[in-house]
Amino acid sequence: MIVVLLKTPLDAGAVKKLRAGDVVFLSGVMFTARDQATRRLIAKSNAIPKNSVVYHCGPLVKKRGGKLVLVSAGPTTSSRMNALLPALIAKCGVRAIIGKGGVSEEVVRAMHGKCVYLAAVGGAGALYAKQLRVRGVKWLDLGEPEALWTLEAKNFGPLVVAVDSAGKTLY
Amino acid sequence: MKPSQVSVLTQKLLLQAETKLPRDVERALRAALKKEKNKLARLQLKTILENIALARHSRVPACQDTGFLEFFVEADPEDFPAIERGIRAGVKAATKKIPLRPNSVDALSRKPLNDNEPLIHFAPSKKSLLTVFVKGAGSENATALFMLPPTSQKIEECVILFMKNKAVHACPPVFVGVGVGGNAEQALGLAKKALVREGEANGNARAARMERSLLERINALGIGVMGLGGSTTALGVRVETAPTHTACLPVGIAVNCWALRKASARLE
Repeated sequence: MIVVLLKTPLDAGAVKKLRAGDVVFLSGVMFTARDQATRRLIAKSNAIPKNSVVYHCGPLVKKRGGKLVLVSAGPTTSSRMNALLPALIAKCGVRAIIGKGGVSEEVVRAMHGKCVYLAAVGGAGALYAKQLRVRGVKWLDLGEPEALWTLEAKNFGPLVVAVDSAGKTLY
Repeated sequence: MKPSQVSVLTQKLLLQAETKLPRDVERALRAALKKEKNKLARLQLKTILENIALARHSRVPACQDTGFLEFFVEADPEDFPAIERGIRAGVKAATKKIPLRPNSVDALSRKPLNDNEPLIHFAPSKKSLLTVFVKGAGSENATALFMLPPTSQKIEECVILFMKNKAVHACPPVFVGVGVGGNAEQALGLAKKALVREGEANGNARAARMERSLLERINALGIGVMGLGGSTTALGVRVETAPTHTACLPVGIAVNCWALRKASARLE
């Protein structure tokens, strides 16, 4: 089992080196976006920088002393966003998508040569929350789970390269 | 029965269900880890067990999807209105205090309601029991109803084919509830009841045989933990039946992620 420590932002070179089956621990800034935020991101693609990592996650947060603290923050089902992901990858230049359950063949094709899919362990929200910190939030009008959260990760993992940029998939 | 007492009990049960996975679920995960040979499946099972311990120790929800909140009330019908008020107040308080993720939205506009809307089932009974069942949307989306021809011998095949397509999205290893019989809505209700009763033995020998066979066949699919391969796809299968119409064979299927979250207590 190959273990890779990754740092965001990711360039095409870093992404192309990853192989299906590798285990990743990720550090740096990333963005949550699920159904509603993905739809809005396609229309407002400058809301996140190019070469970003998008995490399919609707975090559970609480306010402590005026600060937003993550309580539980595991992955959500990626296939719900299948129809939107090719446009998201094309418009936002996303380098990695983190989620669970995998994506459609169409999305795998859209990822080819530029993007990977990293599988997080579904339900491990308490554990992952310890590795992540809230840096900011936008689009709270969509509701807390659907908003665009900016998270800072420190050795966020384990994540498994489930679809690599050459199109090899573990599903 | 005072609503305020029911509210306190509701909050206690929600905290227990969300933060403390039942010990038999943890035992089933440990048993799976012992047998599992796939390296990625083993890594993920260990991560899940670590997460369960952390959630229990820190009293935080194991999963960020704190779920649909479903309540089963078995009590004297005279107490139903007070119990309903208590549950609703308890859910509101627990959403803020534990906290729970505000999951409810308007079905058509998708506007957030910034709260959780519980679903409460009432059954007249002398028991005086309150059960909470918390289910994430990932597994709720893996629900189906099939109206098979009454002469069909393919109940198991129907479940296997469904699991082959859907288990990967429901956070495997999963628990599977199968409801056979009744009418359409009853079959789905039985499937859900099967999940709530998971862990109890089925008294019907034929249903018990089907449970063992389905568990073996689902695990032979090779879907594995989170769909990344291995022999751990289901931790349990439970079948519930009811008499049906001579011209009907409804089969309801309900799936639960590994985090089978439920808690019960007496209503005093």
